[in-house]
Amino acid sequence: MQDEKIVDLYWQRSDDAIRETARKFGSYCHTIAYNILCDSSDADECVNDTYLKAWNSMPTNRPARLAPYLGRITRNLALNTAFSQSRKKRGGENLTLALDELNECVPNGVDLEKSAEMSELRAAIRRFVSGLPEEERSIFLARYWYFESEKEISQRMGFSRSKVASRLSRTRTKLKEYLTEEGLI
Amino acid sequence: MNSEILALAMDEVDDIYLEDTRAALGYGVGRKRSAKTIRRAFLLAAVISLLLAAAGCAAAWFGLSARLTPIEVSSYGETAKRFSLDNYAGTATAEAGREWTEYFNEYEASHTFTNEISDSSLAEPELSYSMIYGAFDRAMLDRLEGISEKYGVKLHIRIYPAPDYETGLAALGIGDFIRGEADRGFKYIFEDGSFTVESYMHIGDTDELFSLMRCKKDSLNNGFMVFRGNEVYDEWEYVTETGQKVNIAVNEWSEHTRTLPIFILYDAGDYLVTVITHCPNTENIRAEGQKIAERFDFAALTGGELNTELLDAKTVELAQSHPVKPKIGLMTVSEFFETDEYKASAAFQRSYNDYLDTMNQGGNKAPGMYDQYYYDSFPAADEKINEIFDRVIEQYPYLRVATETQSVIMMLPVDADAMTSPFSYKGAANPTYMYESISMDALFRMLGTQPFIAEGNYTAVANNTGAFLLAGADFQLSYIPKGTFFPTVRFALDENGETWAYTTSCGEQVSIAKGGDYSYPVCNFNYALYETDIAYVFIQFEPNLGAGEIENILDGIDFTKLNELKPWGAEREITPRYIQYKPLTIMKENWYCKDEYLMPQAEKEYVFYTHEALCGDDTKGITWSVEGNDNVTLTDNGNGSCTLVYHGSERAAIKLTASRGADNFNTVIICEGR
Repeated sequence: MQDEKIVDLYWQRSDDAIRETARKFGSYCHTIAYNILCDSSDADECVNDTYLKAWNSMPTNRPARLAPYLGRITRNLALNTAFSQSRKKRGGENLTLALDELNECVPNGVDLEKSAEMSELRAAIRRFVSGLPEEERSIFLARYWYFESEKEISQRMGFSRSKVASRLSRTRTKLKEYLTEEGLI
Repeated sequence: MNSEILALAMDEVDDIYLEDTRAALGYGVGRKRSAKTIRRAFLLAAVISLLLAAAGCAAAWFGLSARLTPIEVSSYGETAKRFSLDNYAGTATAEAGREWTEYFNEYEASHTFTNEISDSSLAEPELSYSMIYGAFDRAMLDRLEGISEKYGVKLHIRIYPAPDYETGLAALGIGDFIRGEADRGFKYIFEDGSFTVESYMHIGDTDELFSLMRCKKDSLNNGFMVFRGNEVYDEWEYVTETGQKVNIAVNEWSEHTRTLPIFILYDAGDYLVTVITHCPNTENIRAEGQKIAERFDFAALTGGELNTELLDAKTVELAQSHPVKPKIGLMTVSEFFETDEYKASAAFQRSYNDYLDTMNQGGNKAPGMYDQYYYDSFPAADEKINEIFDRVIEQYPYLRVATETQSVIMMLPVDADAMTSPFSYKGAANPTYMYESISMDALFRMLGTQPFIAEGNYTAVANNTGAFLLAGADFQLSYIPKGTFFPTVRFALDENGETWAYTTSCGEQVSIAKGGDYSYPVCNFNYALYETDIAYVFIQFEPNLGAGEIENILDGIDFTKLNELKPWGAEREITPRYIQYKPLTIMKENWYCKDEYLMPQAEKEYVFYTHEALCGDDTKGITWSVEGNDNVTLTDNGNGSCTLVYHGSERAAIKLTASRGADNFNTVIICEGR
């Protein structure tokens, strides 16, 4: 079923809306949640919460493409769940590793919470990602948006693992420079 | 923490980049060369939409526009037009297609088909109409036949799945029509010489998926496209080097899908030919389009007369190369394990479990710990499962596969209060299904058998190859016609267990193989085998059943009735039941609502159970909660179940959760308002 028909189902308050969402995007959302939470049961719950949020947000929203819309909801829910857990209790080392890598984008001693408004930071990252070369952008998002491991990225995208690692390292450096230029750190 | 803030700040990355990355990661979009499969689905419309999901049209030129008929389908928007594969706009065939498309879409949108056609008994040609056109019930069939009569167009009555290319060409009476490097093969051939090819062609540096459809002008073809955008095509006429005039239309580059869809249209006299693919280069598009057109010999696509005997003979030839051996003496379970029927089934189920392991990487099950079995129909909801299926079938091409789009699946609590777990499977996108309850008489009528087992709670699956599965509490009986692929056999982990012959109470002798002790994760089933001249009856018992218990169950089966079964089809009457099940809203595994699975009605009580409650396990400490709506009364029944009543006036989604300590399970339920 096409996305807009599924959105129509939400607007019609049809119970098929969630059924069709699960059929088409269930595994996609689960993958995102699982990559972050590293626990199948928690990921299931996160996906169910995604459906609930989707139901409550349509109407009034009418997203043109459902995958990113639902993916965002899932990712935010999963990240909030993961961040509410202590670092020790967090599901797997994948998220921890990715976050440690992201920390390299901010100089020691800088507290982003104080140095930048969240809305400004969001806009800056959006611009930064838009300006990346296609391949670099996909690897960056695969790692820090979808939270795939380097190994998984190399296998799925057909790059060597060292290439993935070096691209990510280069992009992180670029991000740090960009945020500095923008006066956000 | 800085990294957490950065992670959250990525929330506004543009959709298109998320989609691109999703595609690059292979999350269910796009198609990789290595994943090519020839699907055995019957609804051709899906093939075309796969290729041209982004295609729109405002072309006002002869080629495309001559095939466009305005249609009225509310969800398609006011400017929607139907692109027909079978004839030009204004012809009876195109008008019939328009009416059928409008009707089909509106009807399908307003019907769930749940059990509505349970009692329909279809004979040919309606059986074929049902499969080919997706006419799921009596009303749809009546309308389809009415349209055929009204416009004087023929309906397809026979579809031959995927013969090899040479056989297909010989049967069609035409020459090779593909030039250069390409995977050659047919997807379907119809009884009137219409056919579809879906394959890969090496164009430039890439392998492009292409579809070629040749459709008879006076037969209604169920494949079509709906155009509703305002994108512009560059369209021109081109005469190929061998003198055939074709129309080529190239859509503008879609930044979103990163594709450049291309149409090549050819009038082959009694047939219309349509080629759909993607142009790999974005420069010199006209030259590229013409290069692609030169990859086809359109002259070869004209005429020919279908020789169906060749297609039938190919099937016979394959079958004869692996002749069905009649029963000779008592076949042992070990001997059954050497048959291709078993090997194919085991290969499928092993691959399926490997796939579940892959899905579970990093999860809470160790590799190899899955013992899930796939029982559902094909094609599956999960593309990966279809790939596994196709891969196995490629290894065993002489095994017959079911051609029905739906297996018949049902649940039989003869005792209405009995709770029986419906079949479900992990790894696929489907939520758990609710199956139909029917009587024992209806069960045997559906299977085309005389009663051969006592009344009880069973789950059954039947295919139109004559194969069926009947699962009871402690056993699972598979009736597998020789030469048939029926992937319901649980693969054996110990194939060399103790065996003995046993004469059951009906006087028939079976072979029994006792599995080893249950030693997790090695789960050794016990087996019994009964052979007839035309089929294997393979029975799997739960581990840890004693020899006496196994023999007891076997005594309850009248094998003489199974021995009398005729081959499926001409000699064996069946009652087809085409059922499109309405799945539960979102019902997680191990969750059951006693009264109904369907949308709870306002002010009515619904009892939900945990798996522990149903299985009589310890339910201490289980608590219930509900989120998402305040208009809910939730009563914890204290026995692992709860009673839920929704009081709201509007349809609402609620999240029901059962917790015990740190563990919790939840489900989202849509409740109907007052």
